[in-house]
Order: sequence, then structure tokens, then C-alpha cells
Amino acid sequence: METSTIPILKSGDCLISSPQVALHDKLAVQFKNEVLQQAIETRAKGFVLDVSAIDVVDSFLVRQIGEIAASLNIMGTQTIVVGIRPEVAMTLVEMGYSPERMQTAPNLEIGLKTLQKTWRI
Amino acid sequence: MKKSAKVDQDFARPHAFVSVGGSIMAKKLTTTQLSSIVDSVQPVALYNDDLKIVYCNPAYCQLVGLSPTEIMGKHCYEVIPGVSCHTENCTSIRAKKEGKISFETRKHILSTDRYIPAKITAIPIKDSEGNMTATLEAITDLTEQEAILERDEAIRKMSTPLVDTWENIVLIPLIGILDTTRARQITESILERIAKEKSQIIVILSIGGIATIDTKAANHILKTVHAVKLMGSEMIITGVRPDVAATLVTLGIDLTGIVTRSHLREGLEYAFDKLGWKVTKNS
Repeated sequence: METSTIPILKSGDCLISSPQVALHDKLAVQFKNEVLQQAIETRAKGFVLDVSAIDVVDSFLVRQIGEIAASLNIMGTQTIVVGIRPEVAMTLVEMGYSPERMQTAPNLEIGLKTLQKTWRI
Repeated sequence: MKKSAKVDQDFARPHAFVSVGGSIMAKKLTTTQLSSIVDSVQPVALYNDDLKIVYCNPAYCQLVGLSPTEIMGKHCYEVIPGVSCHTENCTSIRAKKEGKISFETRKHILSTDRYIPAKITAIPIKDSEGNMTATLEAITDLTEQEAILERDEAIRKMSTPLVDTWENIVLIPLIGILDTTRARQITESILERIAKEKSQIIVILSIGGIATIDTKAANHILKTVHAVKLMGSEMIITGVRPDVAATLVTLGIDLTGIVTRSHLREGLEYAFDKLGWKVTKNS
């Protein structure tokens, strides 16, 4: 399997990933598969996805991120998306994406704290 | 009434053809009549093929602050230099190339002592053989318009203040009418603020002073609430008046998932509670 070259880091019981490149369709799918694989291998309890470097999103990417969150939640890994930019937030809302579908936090620090507080990770 | 002006090669004796209701009445205006017309309009100058100024009216001289003798024979880029000079974007060059009227809005054109924002309109002029040899440029001074726009912008900014009420609590008191422009302005300033902030904040939108609200604006506010949530913060709405509430319900706007409180103080209480503050009274 080709790797996406997007680093997925492990810290304690948490996985952290912060894509710094534009996530085009193929890359997004690879990334999703890698995250799910890593979550199983490392038995992580939480996953923090930092999207502060992503300034353009399309419906496909939104779907992929939603799928990552949903799949991980089923696998028992709490996902939190942090650092959504204003323009991305507006795009998501325009697309009709409701915020209840994923947990969010302003930045990585608060994201990790939230995981610790709510899920004792 | 349609008017078409044709200018002779020597530009000294312009003729005017006045067409009335389709039938053309060739009527030659005297030079005095024509020049009084030209003198009374906005700044206008006639350029030859080399972009040399061969005619300009008094308004033009006044705008650039030079006397007619100083202007005549100079190139237009010497008198009113701009960023598009010597490029394909030049209004006159475009007009000649495309054979139709072209426009350009310049931030500044240089006058003797000041910069003037202006709109330049170039009209291509054909000679008797039908070749595009000259252009007529009319300049519209936009100073007043710009000033109005600036003032509007300042007022718009002032109309949506972000008040730091407490640590991580931002209050937006709204008074007056909530229309789409204002709603968009609110969205922009809130999201910018949240992006700048390092921690989770609670935004209280107090709409107690809002008399009317339309569907578009209401939807925009709802979208903002969702966007704020996506960015990891929270926005609550307080002080919805009975008539506004009734309007929202009648319009069929879905407020589920949005925290609303009756008054600003309940809103503050909610925010304090959420952030772990406790207000106690001494003694």
C-alpha cells in the first residue's frame, strides 16, 4: 500500500496528526486508511486532527474527515478536530454540515485537554 | 434623441449629427455652440494616435491643475500617469483596439497637489476613412464617492462592536435593524476574533435591540453559530423579543441546537457556568 507521507504521531494514548499539504482526493483516502490502521495497531483512545494548515476544503474532503471521525468513534477512539479556519468553517456550514457530527476545539492544546477531561485519556 | 459626434482630422471644426427619431437631420453646430457644450461637461481630453493631447476642455485643465498651453502637445501619460500607462490595460489603447468604449477606475490620478481617485472613460473616434486614430477620454472625479464609501465602512465597523465582557466572554450588543450586510459583517468579525484567540471563547449575541429580522439574516446568524461551534467555541443568543421570536417561528427557522436565553444576564450566567466562574456576593 502506498503511504500518504502525512505523519501520524503518538503521544500517550493519543494519536495526533496535522496535515501540512493540500489533501487531494487520493491522498485523503490514503490518509484515512492509515489513521484507521494506526488506531488499531497502537490501541489509541483518542485522535486529534489538526486542520489549521488546510485552507481549502471540498465536499469529498469533508466526507473523508467525517468518515474518519465516525469510524474511529465506532472503534472506540474519540476523535476531535481542531484548528478549523474561519473560511473553512463557513464552507462547512454552507455545505450543510452540522457541528453535532464531530467534536471540535480551537487548537491542539485545548483539544488534548478536552480529551483528557471528558474521556480520561 | 441619439447624438453622434464626428471630429474632423484637424479637430478644429467638429461637426455634430443630430438624429431625431430615426431620421437624420444634418445640423452643423457652430464652433461656439459646440465648445460651450464641451466646456460645460466633465473633464474631457482628445488624444491623437500617439496619445498626445490635442484638445482639452477647461474642466480637464482644472482637474490636473495645469494651463491649456502646458497640457497641449504633451502625452497623456505625462499629464495623468497611472499604473496602466504603457501597458495593454491602458483605457485608450483598449478602446482603440476593441473599437468600443472602455472604462478604468484608478485609485489615484495625479493632480498638481493631490491624488484623485477617478474613473476614466475612453471613447474611440474614427476619422473619415473609418480608422481609429483618436480617443476621447472623459474623467469622473470619484473623491466624494470614495469619502462616502469610507464613511459607510467606518459606520459599519462601529455597528458591530465586540465587547470583552470577561475572560473569554465576548459580547456583541446589536441595536437597530439586522439585515444581510450586517449579519455578514458580524460573521466576519466573530470568526476572525475566534481564529485570533488562543482559547475557547463564548460569544453572546444580544439581539434585544433588534426590531426586525429577515429570513436571510436569520439564516446567516444560524450559520455563524454553527461555524463558531466548528471552530471549537460557542455562541449563544440572548434577548430575543416576542415579536422577533414569533417572526422566526413563522419563517420556519430551526433553532434546535442553539442556546438561547431570555436576557443578557441569563446569558452571562450561562457563560460563567460554562467557563467555571462563580459569582458570589460579599456578606
